[in-house]
Amino acid sequence: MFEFFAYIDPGTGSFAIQAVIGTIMGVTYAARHRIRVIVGKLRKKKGSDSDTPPTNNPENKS
Amino acid sequence: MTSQRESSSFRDNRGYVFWQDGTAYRRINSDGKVAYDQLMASGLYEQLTKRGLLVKHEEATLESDDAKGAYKVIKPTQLPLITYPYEWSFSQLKDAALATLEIQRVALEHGLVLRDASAYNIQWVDGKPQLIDTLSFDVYINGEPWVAYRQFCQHFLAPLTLMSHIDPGLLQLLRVYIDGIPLPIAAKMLPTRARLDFGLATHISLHARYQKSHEDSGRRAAASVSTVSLKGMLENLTRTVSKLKLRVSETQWGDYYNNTNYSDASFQEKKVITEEFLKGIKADRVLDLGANDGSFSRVAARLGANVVSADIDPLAVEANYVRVRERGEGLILPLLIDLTNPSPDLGWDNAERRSFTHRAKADVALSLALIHHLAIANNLPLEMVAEYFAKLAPHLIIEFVPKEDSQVKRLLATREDIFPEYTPDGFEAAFSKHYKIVQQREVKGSARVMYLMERR
Repeated sequence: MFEFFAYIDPGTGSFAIQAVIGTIMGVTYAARHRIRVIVGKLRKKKGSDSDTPPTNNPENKS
Repeated sequence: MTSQRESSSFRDNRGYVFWQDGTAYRRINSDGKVAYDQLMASGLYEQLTKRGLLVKHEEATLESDDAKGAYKVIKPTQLPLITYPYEWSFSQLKDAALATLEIQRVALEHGLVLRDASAYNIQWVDGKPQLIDTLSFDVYINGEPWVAYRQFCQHFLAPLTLMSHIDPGLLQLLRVYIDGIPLPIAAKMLPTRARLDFGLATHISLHARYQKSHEDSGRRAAASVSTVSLKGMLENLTRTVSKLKLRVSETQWGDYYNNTNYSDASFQEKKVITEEFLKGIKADRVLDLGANDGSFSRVAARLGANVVSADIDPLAVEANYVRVRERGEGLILPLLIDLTNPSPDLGWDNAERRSFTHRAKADVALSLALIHHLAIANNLPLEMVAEYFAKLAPHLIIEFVPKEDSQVKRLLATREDIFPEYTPDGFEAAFSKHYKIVQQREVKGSARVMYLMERR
């Protein structure tokens, strides 16, 4: 368990929920990240030059 | 040397902003040393400032009381105007939210995190959102949850969701809840459509329930969140915010371009007159009151002026901001201001968030197609309008819209005309008490008259 010192009150409930939703969203994130890496490798094999780094900002996605 | 602490800068134990000789400085206490040094040494400062996401600063040496004993004093790039989230359009708040999340994402790559996510720490620089609090970073420790998660949801996600799913006018809740909209209140207001969105159901509804179930625990916040989980949460927040849209029909949008009541020729002539008047006074800072979508703000910006483009209508401000963003018009700052009830002094000692009147400083105020809304729709005596405008700027470019004009006729159609003073002569007499009329020009094709005035 991580106990934290901050100048704003992080909120006990707001901390507790992160342990739960973080796990779910972390799994999704890791899976997405893996897929991106695999797709990136496949593209490289095909000789494509679109070697864009993975991003987690949907606004930046084309 | 005398210096004065900024009245809104009291929360952070690691430092604060103070004023000296009209310049804002930030003091960094010794307990802020580690995080500040890592910000500067890790390359994060360089990367964020290069992208315009963080305010640039230089280190300063000062002798004043506020500088004494500090680890460092920094002088950030000075801002012409501080604005508050309740003065922004939907897309401004959304872009500020996305900028905050992006800063947090990049910070993590450099072993740092955002220790707050206050919308008040974001300001508009060259048309883009920028973090102005250099002390917002802390060293990231593996396993720690995001300290600012609650604040982010209250300051950004909750108001954006209510604006998107209910009404853009709900932004004004931020005037009452200056630390953001409490999540239990936001959760109660969420319509079913919003509850079905996984991100909103989680970050607002479930989050509110967790807050409720832990509120009497009396324990300090404690939890463990892996780095991947934290990144996943940030990615999900980013996606959730990105999906939020302002629900506006095509016809509502169209109105912002076709709703002028006089001919295109007159509109163009008004631009020419405005430009001539502006050139005569060489204004660096312009305050466009009742700017609508900012057509006349653009006339001023083309002359190189910094323009605050204020309007009462959230959709007009939105249209204005979207255009600023598309065209990179960094000199124009669209702002949501109701002149009949401008932002008041709020917060501790009524001095934490200053009134619009207190902050607005300009060389010239523009008041085009506005006077009838104030004098007739809001019953304001013309002299009171003149008195208020004179507080805002030493010069005034104002258009008088007479009773023969269709817009005024429309306002008077449903009510008794109790405005015998509302005539060109009455207007000139009232404004002459506060201003000297320098020039006046009739707008051809309409009964309107444009004036350039100088404060007495």
